[in-house]
Amino acid sequence: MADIVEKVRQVISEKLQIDAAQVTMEAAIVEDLGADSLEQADILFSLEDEFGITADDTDEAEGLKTVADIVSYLEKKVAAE
Amino acid sequence: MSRRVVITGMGAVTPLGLSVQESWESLLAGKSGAGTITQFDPSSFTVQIACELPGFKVEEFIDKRDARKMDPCTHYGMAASQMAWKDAGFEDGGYDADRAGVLIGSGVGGIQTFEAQHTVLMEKGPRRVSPFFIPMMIADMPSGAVSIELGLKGPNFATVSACASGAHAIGVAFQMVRRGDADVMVAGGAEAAICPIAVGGFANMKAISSRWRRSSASGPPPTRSTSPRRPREARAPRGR
Repeated sequence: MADIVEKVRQVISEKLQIDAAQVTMEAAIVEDLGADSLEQADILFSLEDEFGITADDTDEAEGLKTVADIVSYLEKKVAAE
Repeated sequence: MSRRVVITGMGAVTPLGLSVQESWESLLAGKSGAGTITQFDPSSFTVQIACELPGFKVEEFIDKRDARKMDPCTHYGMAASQMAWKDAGFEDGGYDADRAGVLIGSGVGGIQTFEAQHTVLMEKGPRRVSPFFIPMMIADMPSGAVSIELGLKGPNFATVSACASGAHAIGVAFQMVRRGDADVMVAGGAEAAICPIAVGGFANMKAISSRWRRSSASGPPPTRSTSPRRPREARAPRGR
């Protein structure tokens, strides 16, 4: 769990060039952190790579809004692998 | 009636200098912009020289987050455009954004991005190709990025005509202002083709000098072969 959170924060801060401290669990990727649609996709693909999972385009991956959403989604995916 | 067209600002980042002034002075001083390639290891190439942009710092022109999503050809186009825009005195307005456009030519666009992402495709598969690949690679992206940066909403595209792409853009932009398509055009060229696949291709088509070994950093610039190219014999048109 802690590993996933750290990794997610690290990837987001690197992709969006923002301080990791800004990437709180409640932060919304688009509204709070300013990601555009391509940056959202870029973040997701990096996390797929990082955790060895594949997010299906038709599933809930499209609806992930906050850092916490992403973390819980990854936990589920990783557990299912 | 056609309108008169004037050039009111200039900007440049070139192998001879990181401004119009510096580039022009280096040119008059007979300096060469060529040197041993540093952007990649050229040791296995028949040609190992190129004209890079020593000292160019992208962060002086573009926000770090945006710069990551742009090919170097866009970095260079953005830098030169910003200088020209400032030189023209448009920083504080004085133009109609809907009547101001951008036309920056590029021979190949983001070929460094193309090369890098093709490697990703081969090594990691299609799922790992960057979502930024297309908007980084397409040849009209210097024009696109400059219009976004400066907020220009007029005509926006690119000319692609090999080594004439930049001059072609200036000529077409001139025509556009003259016939009233726009009041202001940011025009020029941007290229960043110093990468293995481009240097390999240019070298093998004999388009760049392989006599580089005779030159040195302080010596004269590499020269073209002195033997004149023989013109192709004119072919008789095929009968119909």
